[in-house]
Amino acid sequence: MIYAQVLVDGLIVGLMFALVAMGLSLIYGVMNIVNFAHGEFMMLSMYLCYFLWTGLGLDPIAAAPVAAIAMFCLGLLLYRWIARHLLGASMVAQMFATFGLLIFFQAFANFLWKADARTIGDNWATGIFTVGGLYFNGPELAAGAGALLTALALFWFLNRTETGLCLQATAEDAQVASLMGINTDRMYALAWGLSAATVGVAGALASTYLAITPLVGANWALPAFVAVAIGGFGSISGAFWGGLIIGLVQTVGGFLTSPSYKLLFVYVLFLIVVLVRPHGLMGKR
Amino acid sequence: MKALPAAFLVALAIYPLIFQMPFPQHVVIMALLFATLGTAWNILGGLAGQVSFGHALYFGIGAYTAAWFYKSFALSALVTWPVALVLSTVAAIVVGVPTFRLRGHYFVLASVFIMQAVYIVVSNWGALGAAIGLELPVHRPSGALDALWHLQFHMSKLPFYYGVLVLFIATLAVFEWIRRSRLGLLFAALREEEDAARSVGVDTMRYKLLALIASAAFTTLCGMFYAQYVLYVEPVSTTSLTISVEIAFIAIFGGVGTLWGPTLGAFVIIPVTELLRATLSGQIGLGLSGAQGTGVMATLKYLAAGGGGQVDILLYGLMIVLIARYQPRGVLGFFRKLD
Repeated sequence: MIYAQVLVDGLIVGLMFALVAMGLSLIYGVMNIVNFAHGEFMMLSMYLCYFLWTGLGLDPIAAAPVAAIAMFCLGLLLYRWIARHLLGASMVAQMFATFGLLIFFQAFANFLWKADARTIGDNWATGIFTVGGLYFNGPELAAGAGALLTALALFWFLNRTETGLCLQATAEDAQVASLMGINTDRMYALAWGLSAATVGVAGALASTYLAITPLVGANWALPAFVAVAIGGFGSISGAFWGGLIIGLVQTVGGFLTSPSYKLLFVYVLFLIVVLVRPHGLMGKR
Repeated sequence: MKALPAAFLVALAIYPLIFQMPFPQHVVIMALLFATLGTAWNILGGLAGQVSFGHALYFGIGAYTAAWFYKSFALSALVTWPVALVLSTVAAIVVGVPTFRLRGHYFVLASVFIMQAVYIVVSNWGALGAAIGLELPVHRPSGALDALWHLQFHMSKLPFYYGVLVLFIATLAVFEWIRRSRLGLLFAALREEEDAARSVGVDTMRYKLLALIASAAFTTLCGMFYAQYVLYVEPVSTTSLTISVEIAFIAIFGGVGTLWGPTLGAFVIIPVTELLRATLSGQIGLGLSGAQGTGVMATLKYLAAGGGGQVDILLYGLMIVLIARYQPRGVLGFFRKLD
């Protein structure tokens, strides 16, 4: 039974990793840029939800759309101001630009709000309940369900709307897409906005049960890179399944050894995957 | 353009005789340390074109070897450096053989995750003091020879200053020697056209490993110097991703693969961040007490007093973004445009 519990816990946290990883994969797929600052959107969204909760009494999960819109705008802004100008730059310049953003936003949060952890108190989801002998923590379950819904909404958008298909066409081949009359610049901007918005939702969902600190995002975004690699860089559905896998791996690994080692298993998994199957478990060549 | 570097080295040699206060000497010691780290990184990243975000691994090997042996057997880095170099070479081979098969983003991300994995292991490793780290016991030297044997100098920073200056010049010399040698041409070949180099029979794995081993060796010596200088070693300031990125950023700041680029980077970034930290962060503990109330004035007062700290890191992050955005080829690019 304890193993069933560990697997269920792993899948629930895996849904959150899946959502974070999908946004990461979106930017990588469309622009071929590794966004190290991805987790910082999540962190900023968590602070936003915290202040909406303490200031206006707005429930963090109800605040998820607000966080999504705010992060969408921030994503657009960062695209216009920085990412757009990195398209022709070297890989090193691209990586430093996004890593610099990571350092900047973490220090920015530290500067404004100090390093002390903040937590959102009890809300409607608070509580632990049992179903068939398995324990569920309300906020975590709500977050997992919210992440799944958001992921499904993203899939729907990408596969069922014209704009989503244009985005995928740009990811496939930007040059051909632009010959077909797709405004690739707008698609890149949309990819940044959507990526930030989805991870912003993840932040809103996580803010109900995680301690909010300036460094909280990095613990999600770095493992999410592993999910992206497992799924094959640039594949959105691959990133989703990759997220579930790393959720399981870190929960099972942490259970078998010690929680402080749980991410070690995820990072080692990255090395195994890129060395054995450099195009991911599901990726195409 | 031979005069400028020569004048710079002469200025470095006489600097501590003019500026005798500890803080100005400390700033230049740290700048020299990071200039050496950046130059060492540049052997792999600049000459051989393999961008590593994991060089703090080798810095940590040096720092922890020095600390552990001194704490356990009172043997200083003067004696233990061969052990550290063996360890760093073994680590370079273990890391390099699998990851040098990767290209582009995959290689960089692999270096990031190896760094993170090592960080987790070190910060949970009891013998290395886990997250708290290791302190090197302070030794009161009985004379000059005894001080040298223990590498502990408490009366003056001059031995450390000239020690790191020698290490710096040696690293620059090796970098320039490699760049001008046949080896440098081979490195350039695998940096510019790896497939072409391989197709004409260059053993690319072998030369990448050579570049990494040389680069790691100097990085390890820097780690040993750091441990002996600070007498305290812990994971965040030695084996973290942050330090790895700082080393790489300093190396690319001036221009990747140039002889003086990393030195320029270190002598801009280190003094700026050290000065900011000393002037701003030093007062934050006091500044916070004034930020009790709410409202616009209280908030402004709080922020003016340095806020929650890390103004230096905030500006450092901003600087990275701006340079990558506006001068992706490095700051020396500005000077090149002038010729």
